[in-house]
Amino acid sequence: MLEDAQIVQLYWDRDTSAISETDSKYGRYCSKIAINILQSTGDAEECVNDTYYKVWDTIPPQRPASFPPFLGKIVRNLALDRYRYHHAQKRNGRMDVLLSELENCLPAADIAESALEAGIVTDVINEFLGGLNKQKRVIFVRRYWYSQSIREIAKAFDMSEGQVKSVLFRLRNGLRAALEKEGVHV
Amino acid sequence: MNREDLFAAMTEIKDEYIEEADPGRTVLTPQRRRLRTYLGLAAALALVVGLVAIAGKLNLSQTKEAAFDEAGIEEEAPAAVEPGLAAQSDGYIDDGQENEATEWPAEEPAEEPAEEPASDSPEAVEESVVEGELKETQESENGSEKGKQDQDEIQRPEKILWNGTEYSSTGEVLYESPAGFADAGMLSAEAGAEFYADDPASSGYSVYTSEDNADKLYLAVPEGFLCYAK
Repeated sequence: MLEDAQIVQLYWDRDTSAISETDSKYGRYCSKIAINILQSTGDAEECVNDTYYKVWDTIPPQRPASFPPFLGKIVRNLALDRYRYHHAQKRNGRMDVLLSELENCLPAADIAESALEAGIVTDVINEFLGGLNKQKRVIFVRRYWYSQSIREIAKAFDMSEGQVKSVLFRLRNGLRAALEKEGVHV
Repeated sequence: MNREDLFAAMTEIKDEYIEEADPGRTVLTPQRRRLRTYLGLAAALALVVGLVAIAGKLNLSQTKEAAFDEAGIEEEAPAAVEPGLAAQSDGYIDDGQENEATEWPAEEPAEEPAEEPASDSPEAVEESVVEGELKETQESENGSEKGKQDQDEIQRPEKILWNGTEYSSTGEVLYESPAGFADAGMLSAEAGAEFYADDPASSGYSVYTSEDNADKLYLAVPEGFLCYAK
């Protein structure tokens, strides 16, 4: 299996084997992110294929320092777009639950819009995550970035589901406090 | 900004956090697994210390016996060698006499293994190990007792207000999910905001009753999860 830098170089060389190499090494990683958001294998598969084309269009000029998060961000964005598109027609229970959890972190609409545009929200999230210990940070990112289920997280950490929920509840409160601290009032 | 926007804003968090949490590559040491490892190490250490103590005891008893034997030689050797004293005083020691004198203490160490097996035999070592294990188990039990005591030291509110009704603590604490509970929620959150019907209590459920109704409330402290049963 090729190193990430070699795969990126294939994109730069406009070598189409870059896509098959990416799929071979990160296909499962991308699929998991997409499935966790879309809850549909078919949709996730299309989303992952779209991701490869997006990467093909993006590299060059970009040369990502770290390839997996680069891929993950693209597949996550595409999956979220697809989720939004489908959401009007059908409900996605698991994603609805996850998003409803985030509702109590939401700042007030008018202030939040400008904060979102200025990228302040992402900065606050980064700062908030930076202040957590590793375990809490990983739990938060696995839940709200990788969209893992509570059960999966509990199993990974050998914790009860209730303990994970408890940790996430406190983390969400912490994030809201962090947003407020930065002037984004709820 | 809606919840989806917040979810989308999270996409751009630092790469290091994404990599760190990658379910496929992150190897974490969960708390309980780590605790189990520590307990395993502690048990292994206790075993080693036990074996070392046994070995030390054996050496000590051997040394004591050797010392005793030497003392015995010093006391008894003169009598044994007495017949040869004249020869010795003549500056001549008969080989046979010397052997006779040195053979006696030499016999004792030969007997030692015959006497010592009681403590050195595999059965004895096994017994000691079992004792060590029992001790370890007792220590673990004491540890869990201490854990329970720690649990009891958790600040549990005397009274809680739920749905406009005041409930008082009965002082009882359940360490398993209460049977037949009908609902659950977060005491600290607005009613209906958080519901975890299958939430297990990690710190025990404090039991509350009210004079106004027959409901029983179970509060998991300090998580704040609440459930009730009629």
